Amino acid sequence: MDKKYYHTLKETLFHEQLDNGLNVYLLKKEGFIKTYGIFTANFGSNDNEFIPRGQKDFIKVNDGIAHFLEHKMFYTKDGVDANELYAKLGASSNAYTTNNQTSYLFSTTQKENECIELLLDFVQALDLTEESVEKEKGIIEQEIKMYDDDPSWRLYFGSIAALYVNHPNNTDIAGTVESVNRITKAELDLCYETFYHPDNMMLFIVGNIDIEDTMALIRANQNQKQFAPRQEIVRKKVDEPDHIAVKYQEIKMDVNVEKLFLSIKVNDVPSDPIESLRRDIAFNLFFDCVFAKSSDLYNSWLEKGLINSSFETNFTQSRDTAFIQMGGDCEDRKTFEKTLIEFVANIDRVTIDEATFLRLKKRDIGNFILAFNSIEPIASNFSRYYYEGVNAFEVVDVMQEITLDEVLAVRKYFNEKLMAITIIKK
Amino acid sequence: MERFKLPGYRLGVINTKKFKTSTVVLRLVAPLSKDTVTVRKLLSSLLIEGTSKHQGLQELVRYAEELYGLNVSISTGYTGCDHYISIYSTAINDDYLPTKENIIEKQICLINDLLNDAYLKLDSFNENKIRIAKTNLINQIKSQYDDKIVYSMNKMYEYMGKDTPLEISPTGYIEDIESITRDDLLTCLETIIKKDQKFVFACGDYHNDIKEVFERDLVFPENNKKYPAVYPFLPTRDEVQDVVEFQQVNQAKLNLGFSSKVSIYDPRIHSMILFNFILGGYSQSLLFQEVREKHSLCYYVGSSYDSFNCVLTIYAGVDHGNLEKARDLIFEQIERMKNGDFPDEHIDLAKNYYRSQYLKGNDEPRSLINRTFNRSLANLDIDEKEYLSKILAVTKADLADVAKTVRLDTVFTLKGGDENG
Repeated sequence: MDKKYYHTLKETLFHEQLDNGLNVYLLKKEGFIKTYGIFTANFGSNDNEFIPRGQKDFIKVNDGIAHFLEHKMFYTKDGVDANELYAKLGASSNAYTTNNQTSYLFSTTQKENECIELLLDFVQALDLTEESVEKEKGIIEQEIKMYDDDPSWRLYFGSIAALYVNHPNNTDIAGTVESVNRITKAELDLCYETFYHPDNMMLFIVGNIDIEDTMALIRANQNQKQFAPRQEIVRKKVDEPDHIAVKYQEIKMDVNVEKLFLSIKVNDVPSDPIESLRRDIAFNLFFDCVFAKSSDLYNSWLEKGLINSSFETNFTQSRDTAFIQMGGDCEDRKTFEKTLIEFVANIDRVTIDEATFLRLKKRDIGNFILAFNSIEPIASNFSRYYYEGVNAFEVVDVMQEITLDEVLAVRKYFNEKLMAITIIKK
Repeated sequence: MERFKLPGYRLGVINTKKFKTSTVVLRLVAPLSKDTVTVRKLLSSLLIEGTSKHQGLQELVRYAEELYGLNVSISTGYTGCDHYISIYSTAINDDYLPTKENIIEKQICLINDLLNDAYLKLDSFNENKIRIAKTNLINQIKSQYDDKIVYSMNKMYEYMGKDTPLEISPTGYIEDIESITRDDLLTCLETIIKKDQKFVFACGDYHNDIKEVFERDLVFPENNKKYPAVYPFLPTRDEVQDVVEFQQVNQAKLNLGFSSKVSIYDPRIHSMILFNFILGGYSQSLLFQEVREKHSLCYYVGSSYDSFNCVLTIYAGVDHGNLEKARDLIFEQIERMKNGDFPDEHIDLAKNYYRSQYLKGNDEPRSLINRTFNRSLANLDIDEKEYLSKILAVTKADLADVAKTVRLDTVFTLKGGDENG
């Protein structure tokens, strides 16, 4: 087991990679009652073309399968629901699927060891029946329809989908009602065998734990299980053209307030994790300097009535994609749209002075420390950065190093030719 | 927690080394009334416009950013028949910063200045900001229509609570916004400073003189006002009110409102809390297991109980074709609660889970403070151990007892299509 102390955050992180390939991270939080565990598979909605473990050829699976598998993982053998087993331990459990990963988690104030073992055990066994697969389809269909009624969700994901011609980023994480209905038990089993191998997974436990005892418990649990030999997973590289799929789209919904997002595809995604992290921090700082509530531009748009507090800007980067989003509710859609387009067209005229840069950097550092105040954000930050190749405990130190030049350099990614407009219309 | 009675407010200090932050919250409480809710809401959005030292949101935010992103937000809400404005602030503890900023004192002074030294009071105040705040508030109210889950729940309260505090929207009313003048806002601010009941909570790693710091830096006129927040919602109709509205939605949103009589003061409250929990409060609840897991009718379904107004709500998103089936199943679960028609293990499971959830709240400044506020408002001094032991002592007969106090009052359904199907 290796350990490392992070001075800025005053936290010590322990790590060990087990023989079966599983990476385990432990963090003790003094004074906390709660313990939180997160078990993440490097498998998300974007992993839809790959060579199944033990096979030779690529296959394409139905959209929404990672999310479907997440729902079904909770059904353990004997037909008992893992949520129920957690409830019996006085703990709560949950799971979520993103484009690139699936995470299972618990939180508890008692019986920590049992909770950790249960997490490992229920995720490391899949027991499906044709009947239980069919039954889940109704629940997932209602989940998809719930999000279909949510205008903010439709705007956010619609504006991403517009940018991609072939990349699975253009499809909802949960898939569609049709793709979900095509999913079979055999397909779920195949995905499970391929992606839920310990060498494609990470376990992070944070809270009221004893480090040595917890690691010993995890080691013993893993040593008594058999897994297929370790093998690298081959995912098909998406053949995505540089250009975007849709330049302009309107989604009609029963809303009072119209919404608009401008999104831009960024084709240059750094393969080096630290370079990628620096880009991410630089983008966020750029948006903070230009559009924070303290900025001149934000306030002038606010005074003109172009935007309200719903206005947001995002930069999102993952394994093989990156994109920019800006927008929110709009009173006067035409003017709002024109203003955003002009902002992009004149991006080289946007400047940031040193004082603003330093002030916002201070704020962002403060906010990052704030996230380490409670257990959940620590775990979710750690898991989010992990498969991007970044240790979340190091982010704050990289933030300190970012320069104004790096921040200003992101302007070159505001490319008008790769820009889409998405509107939620009355 | 240490409690202090200062001239203008009650102060609760949770001194702990657990967090990297200091959280300070000021709650300003007045009776919930249709006449004042809009002006209070509009005022709360203008208070964030700053102080005489930092005039305008832009200046205020700049100052806060310099202090490593000291966070201040102002929100409004209701508890029972009280309306509150909440000033919520989080600062990074000096120990984690590269430079000593005396940040906690600055945090407390800022909260003081947002009210006592509000930029709004100055002659130089930019009146344009009132116009912008009005437009923003109108938009905020309008956009409540767009979140169909929230919208349908609010409509249910509106129909159920007609002519009672339950129908009042804490966000205010569009028709009242336009006529509000700067003088109205200033009068409202004066009333708040003089008459609102005030609670201050602080949670963080403080020195021994923290009470003196508050006494010196956060000052309000002496005030002994108390606004009781608890009221039982009294049903006025004999028959169930069944309202259906049609909109373009992919999924029907079903909301049911029930009245009860078990308030936070009632000795049966512990049974009621557990009743709600077993009925629809978590993943093993009867509603979740029957309506979602067994019959695959929905993705979300649950219940909540408000011990300030004694109203139980049940909500679910279901396919239009399954509405009747879902309603029947929901009623069936309430009957099961009344008849004790469920395994005894359910009760132990729920108790164990509830206890754990409750204790987890102690690791979050926000939940610690919210819990303390609700109790202070109800004027209850609750010992945590005693409270939990009462929850753990609830029996099946107790659950049946409180289940029988629950009476269906209103059903609001948001459906797709139109009346003709």
